[in-house]
Amino acid sequence: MITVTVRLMGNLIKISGTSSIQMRMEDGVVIKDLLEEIFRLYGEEMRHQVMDSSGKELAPYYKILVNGRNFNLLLGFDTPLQEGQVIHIMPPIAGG
Amino acid sequence: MIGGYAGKYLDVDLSTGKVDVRLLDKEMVEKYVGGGGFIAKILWDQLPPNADPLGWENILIITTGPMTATLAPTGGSWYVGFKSPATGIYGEGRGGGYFGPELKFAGYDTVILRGRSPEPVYLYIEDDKVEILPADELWGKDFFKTVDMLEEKYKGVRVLGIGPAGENLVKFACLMSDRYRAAGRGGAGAVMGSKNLKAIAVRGSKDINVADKEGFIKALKDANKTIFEHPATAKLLPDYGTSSLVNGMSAFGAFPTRNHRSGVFESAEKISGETMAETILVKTRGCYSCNIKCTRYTMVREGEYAGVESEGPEYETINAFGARCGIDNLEAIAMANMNANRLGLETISTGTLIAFAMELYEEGLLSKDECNGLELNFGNHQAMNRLLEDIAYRRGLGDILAEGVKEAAVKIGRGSEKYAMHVKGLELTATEPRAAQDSGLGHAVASRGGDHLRPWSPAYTLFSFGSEELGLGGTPDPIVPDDKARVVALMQRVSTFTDMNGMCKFTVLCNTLAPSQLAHLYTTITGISFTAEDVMQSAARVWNLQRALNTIKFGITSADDTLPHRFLNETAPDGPAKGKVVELDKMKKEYYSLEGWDDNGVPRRERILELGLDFVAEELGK
Repeated sequence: MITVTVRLMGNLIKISGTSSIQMRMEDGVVIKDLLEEIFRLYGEEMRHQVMDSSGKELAPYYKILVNGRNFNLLLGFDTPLQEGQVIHIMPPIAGG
Repeated sequence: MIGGYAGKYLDVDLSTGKVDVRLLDKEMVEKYVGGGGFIAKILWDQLPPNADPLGWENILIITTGPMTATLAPTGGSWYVGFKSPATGIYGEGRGGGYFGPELKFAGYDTVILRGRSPEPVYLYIEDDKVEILPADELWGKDFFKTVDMLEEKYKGVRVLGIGPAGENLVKFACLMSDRYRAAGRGGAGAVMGSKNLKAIAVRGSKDINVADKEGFIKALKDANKTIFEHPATAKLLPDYGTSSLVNGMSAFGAFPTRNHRSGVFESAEKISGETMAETILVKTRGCYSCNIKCTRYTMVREGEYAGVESEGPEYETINAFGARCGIDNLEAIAMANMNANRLGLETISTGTLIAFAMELYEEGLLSKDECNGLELNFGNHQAMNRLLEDIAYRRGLGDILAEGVKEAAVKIGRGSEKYAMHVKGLELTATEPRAAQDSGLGHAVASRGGDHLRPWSPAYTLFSFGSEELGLGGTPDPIVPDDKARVVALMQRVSTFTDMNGMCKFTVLCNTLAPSQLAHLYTTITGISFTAEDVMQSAARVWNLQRALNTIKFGITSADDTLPHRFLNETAPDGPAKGKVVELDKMKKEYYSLEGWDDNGVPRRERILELGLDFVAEELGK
């Protein structure tokens, strides 16, 4: 088993009621497994925010970071998780 | 008559009290548009290159753009230009609010301020009436009080002015307008103070004509549709303001922490937009003709800072007075923000100076006695707020810090230079460049020094806001230097044009409006036919004129296009960029090549001629 920290931002905090979750997962899990577990915990509203209408891609401008790296620069939904990693699920944010 | 412009400008000599009203030149309009374009051309033509920035010979230019005072989205911008006392090079700032439109309603696109008044004065403009009046009662007052006094005297007036920091020639004092709007990184407030000019109060009753009303309505509908559909402008900036960035920037390792030692702030959440929305936020506001409304109006209701109310703090201010100083107390940051606005201090530079002093204190390079008796550790928010006032009034250590971080490091010595976070004398901003290499390049080559807004390229490299028209798509890798020169050059063009046309950069910062939409708005307002290519070309002309000013007249070379020691020599200690430095040389070489600049960073003759800047070519090689 591994433990990862999931950090949520913006509207996702309102849905989940928390900004940080410690999650115990089986060895060998990947990002899509983690997402399914989060959707199981926090319901379909969370899924509909994070995923697009096909349910296969992230909603526009949503990002997942694995230790600060955009998962598109890794293996996307198939990125394997490791002990102690921090996973950010980030709605669109802007400023400057 | 070209639409969108008032068609006249004021030329005010504060030494003699002479005020001239002049007609706007057609070539000036067609080639330089407004804002930073007007500023660059006026400084090139009229400023003696060796002018002392705080001497009578410096010129302070307040100007607008053709979209200012129209219904163009966010058409509320005014601009200020000058030779910067912090950097000795090109200085420019942009402000929002309502002052810029009011100046145009009074009949003027621009006010050029020369000389130095023998006594403190303010300028009163009411349509054709322009008066230079004694400011004895205003001098010494903070900006909020100054606005109150002028609003009481003249109903419905809009005020631009300085606080005590500008009067005391703090080299990063800014101009304030409409109580809470700020402009003038690099010390516009000090330049105004050096001229003994406290404020400009304006009210007007005239109209601004649009050349093609039907076409403009079409262009406006198209632009507004994009703004209302793009997540940045439809949802994020209205809901959380710029502070929505705090958590995200820290997640990317790009949130400068403890004087840029790191890009990860462990307490980011405590000072985030989300926390602000739940605690001190009262309501949101917008500037003139704004359909984004990013401004936060906040009030601290309890605790030691209870009663503090102001607009903001914005993202940059939260970082400057927060993570940069190791402070996770949002109420203390709100206090510093309010005091900076009141005193007329520019928040980014002020926070950088305090963070610099904190690191020197922690490194044992400054003693408690030398820090005005303050225990200046990172995280000490009471000390931060005390030191901020000491800077504005030049008390003790504050007097040294008031010179700006570059000069302060020279005065302090003891190896403090390597902790001084600036480019060309302008203090750095709230993006950690080791985690966003493009930001390192952008800061290094920007025309006013350490500038994050020409462009704010992390919108694309971190947050993936691309642009089909600009050829920016996919997921760029922010921690490698590849392709970053192209990204910076392209996004610089759009930012530069927005700083010419009178709109707010938040319409383009996340690649919301495309160059073709800006061209459509410009064409229908002015009647001057513009394409997307013209937008890019006119921005390139102005960008290169600003560069020519810096290199040919103010002596900037490639060696000045650099970053602080830390980013080039110390690897990031944590976050996704752990182990990385900024690979500046590679990016800079590519950038110079794309811009058509030689190895020393000077625009090449053929590039200058291609941009229609023949008068610059005449100065090359002199």
